[in-house]
Amino acid sequence: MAHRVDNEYDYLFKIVLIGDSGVGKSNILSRFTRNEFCLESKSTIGVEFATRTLQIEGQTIKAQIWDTAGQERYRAITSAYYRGAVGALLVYDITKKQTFENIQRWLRELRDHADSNIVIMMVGNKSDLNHLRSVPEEDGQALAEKEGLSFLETSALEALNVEKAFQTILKDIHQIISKKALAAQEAAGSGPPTQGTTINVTDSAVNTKRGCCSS
Amino acid sequence: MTAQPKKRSVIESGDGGLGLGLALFISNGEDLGPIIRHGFDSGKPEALMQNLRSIVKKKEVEIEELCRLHYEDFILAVDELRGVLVDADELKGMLTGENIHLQKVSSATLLNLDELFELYSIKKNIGEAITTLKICVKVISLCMACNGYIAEAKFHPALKTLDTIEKGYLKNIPLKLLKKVVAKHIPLIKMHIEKKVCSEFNDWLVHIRRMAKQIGQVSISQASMARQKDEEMRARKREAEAHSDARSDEHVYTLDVENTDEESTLNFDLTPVYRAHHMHICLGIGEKFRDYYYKNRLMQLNLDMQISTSQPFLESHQPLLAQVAGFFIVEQRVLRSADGLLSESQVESTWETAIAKITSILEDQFARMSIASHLLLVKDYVTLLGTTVSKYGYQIAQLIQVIAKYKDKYHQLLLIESRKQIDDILANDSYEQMIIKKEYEYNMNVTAFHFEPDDVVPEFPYVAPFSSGVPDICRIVRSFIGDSVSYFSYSARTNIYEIVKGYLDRLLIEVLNDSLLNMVYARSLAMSQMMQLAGNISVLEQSCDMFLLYSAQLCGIPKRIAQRSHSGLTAKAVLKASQNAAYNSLINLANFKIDEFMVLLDDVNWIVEEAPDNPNEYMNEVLIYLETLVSTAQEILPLEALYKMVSGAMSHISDSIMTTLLNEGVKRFTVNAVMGLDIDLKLLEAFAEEKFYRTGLVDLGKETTFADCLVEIRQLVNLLLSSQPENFMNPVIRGRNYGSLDYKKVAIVCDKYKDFADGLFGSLSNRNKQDARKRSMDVLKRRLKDFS
Repeated sequence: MAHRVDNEYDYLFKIVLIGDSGVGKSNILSRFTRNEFCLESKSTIGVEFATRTLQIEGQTIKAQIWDTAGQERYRAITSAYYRGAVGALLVYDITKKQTFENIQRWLRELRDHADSNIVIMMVGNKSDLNHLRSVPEEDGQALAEKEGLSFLETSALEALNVEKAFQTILKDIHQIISKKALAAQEAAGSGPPTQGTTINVTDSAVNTKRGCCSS
Repeated sequence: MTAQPKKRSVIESGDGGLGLGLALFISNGEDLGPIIRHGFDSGKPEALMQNLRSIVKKKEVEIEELCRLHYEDFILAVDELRGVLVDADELKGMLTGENIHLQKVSSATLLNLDELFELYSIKKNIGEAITTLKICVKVISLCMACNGYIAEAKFHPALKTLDTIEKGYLKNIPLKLLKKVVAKHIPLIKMHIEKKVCSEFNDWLVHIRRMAKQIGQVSISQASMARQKDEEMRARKREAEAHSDARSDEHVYTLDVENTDEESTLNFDLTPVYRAHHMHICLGIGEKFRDYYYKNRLMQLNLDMQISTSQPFLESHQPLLAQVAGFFIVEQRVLRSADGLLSESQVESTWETAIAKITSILEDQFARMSIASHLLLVKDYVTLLGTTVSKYGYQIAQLIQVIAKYKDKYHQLLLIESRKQIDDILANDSYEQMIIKKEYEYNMNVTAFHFEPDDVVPEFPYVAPFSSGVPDICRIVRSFIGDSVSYFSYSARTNIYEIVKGYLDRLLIEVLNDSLLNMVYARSLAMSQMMQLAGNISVLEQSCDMFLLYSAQLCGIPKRIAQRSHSGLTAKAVLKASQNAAYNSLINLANFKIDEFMVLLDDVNWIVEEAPDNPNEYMNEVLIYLETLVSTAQEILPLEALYKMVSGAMSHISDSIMTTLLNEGVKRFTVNAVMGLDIDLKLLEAFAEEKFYRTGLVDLGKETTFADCLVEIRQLVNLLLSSQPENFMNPVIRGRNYGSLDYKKVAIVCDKYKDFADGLFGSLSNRNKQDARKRSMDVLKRRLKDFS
């Protein structure tokens, strides 16, 4: 296949990974972007991010995944990193009930700092450790429904549902962006047909770049 | 060899001899080597050479002669040879022709021969190929078999097959590529097997973690049922002791029906563990699996022992403890049956970790519990846990210690609850004698506590000597005893009777006695109610022995041993003291009431001019009150208390009258007023005399009668009415008639004594009499004044 130039994509979506320290956010990131899993448990310092480009409904989406430290002492620098995020993965560890109970606090943080239209998915990681489970799957499902979130249990170790989680949230984001683009296009379409116009979706603060015109 | 020395000796004899010898040697065809070597060795080869040359010349001559002799024969021979040559040449031509002919004829056969050789070569190659392929086929067959086993998850034969391939065939695989592929895949397959087995084992971990709670619950339930049977047996034994006439050799047999569900729960499946362990051993990583098992089970245990924050401990403690019990039952089974998967020390250290955590949780929860029944509920389940796991060999001393440590807390809560209940009963009691109308009421309130006066069931309605609060309190005390014994049951190895007795004493002294005293001193009860309270205390004091027997009974001590024991409850003496306090309160209350009537003394006309015909008003009131008091007390109080109360009342009346005469309120009085007092006293003395005998108090053998309590005022009145009051100064007469009177008091009263002359129309004889008394009184007054 021809090698795509790095800037050749239709949408750039910023996704943030949040949750308590040690729940496996970094391994979710590395599994999705590099298909790697690191058994050593090293705490993330500050913020790390990685990208991966994939096709969703015929369009090229560049996912920019931001991984953050869950520890309290890094909270000061993480508030800024919600800026421009269109999606968030709320991660807890199914073997540590406290991480699940703290989901509410992370949700409040999202609602305080992130865009109100951000798409949120709740993720129960480490499902390979089912024999050490302390959060039943039904509890996760119930909380997600109550808060209006998507929900999946994943295993970064076994690469279970990680791809699916990102596909799901990116599709949801893309669907919302597409609706907004369509609405903007209809509004712009009241005039005579032109060669094409750049659609500025400022509400979502998403960098939009089209590979070709459509009208 | 023996010939050699002879020939040498011949040669050495001389040169002529040497030549002859040589010739002889040559003609015989013998080897000349040694001779020639000897010649050269000896350093004289010239002689030998000359001899040899001469022999050569002789031979040449012989040869020439021989040639001349045989010349013709030679020529003939040459001709013959030339003929043979020609023949041979002819033969050669013939052979060549034959050969060419043969070649023509045999060329086809030669081609076939070449083909044959080629085929032999092919055969050899094919043989080698077949040999190679056989090995490869064998290997591939084994690989296929291995794949089949893996597809069917039969990992043990798969591993066996892998071992066969690895050890038996791998080095001998002739095809390098196949060898490489096989060598590469063997560890991959082993890793796959390990993952699969581990995955299966992890599924088992999930399953056994869920099952552990059921296993624990079933085991604890069985322990509970066994305990229940124990209790029933013990209760039957107690009943047998209570009714000594019952047949002692009576036996009750019950059929134990096993619960199949419970059996299936306790027969949990460890096959995945055995399988995983065995497979890891076959893979050569048994140690790794043992480590994995131990660590993951420990993590599961730590998760299971986390206290639920959303659920109160009272609800969550049973699932928690059942989970732990189930966990360790499983571990014990694994230890016994899984052949080295777990070590004894590992299980013990895990148990020590768990029991330390449990004791910590229990201490924390016990410390914050505020209801005794909650603590008892948890304690019961903890002892069931202890019973259950000790059957599997686990040490439960720490659990017992925690329970023992919090026994004071538990009993403190019990005491608090009992105090509240007893206070409620005392506050709501009507303090009226309980009227029992039906037999079941009698059984419930009288027989149950051995309050029967005799063994005969009385006529109904039956009036009990206590109020309704007493049986209620007795029920609370018995409940306390039961709760106390319950706390120590299955958790104390020592004799608990003394401990329970101690707590019972605390209940009766610190709670019951305190509450009773509060009622005594609260001044909220009427006279009859106070009497009933005193009566109640009396009954409760006598109940101490019954409570003690009940404690002994619940503690499993036979009745006769308990009865023989001389140490009773301290509470009995304390309640006795409280009873006296109640009696004192009764006396105070009665006196207080009497004071209300004695206030009427203020209305008495102390300077009345005529002798009264009737008693003063205050005395009427007092007598009415005393009549009521005695009739009520007679039914409730014991004779001793009745005596004390009435005596106290009488003394009080006497003192009141005396005080009135001594007070500033009375400035002077006449003989007529004294005569009025005399009438009052006569009435009171008659009452006292009658009651003393009618109530049966005379049987107490008291030296002092009720009338004796009035002696002071009686003597004073007698003195004032005496015709010769000056006799008071006579020691003999005073000792006999006025022994209770005090000089000072008499002086004060006499000073107030004023007599007025009768009217001018009084009789002469009466006048004379009064004058005589007046003079005598004046004398007494003067002498008392001088005396003081």
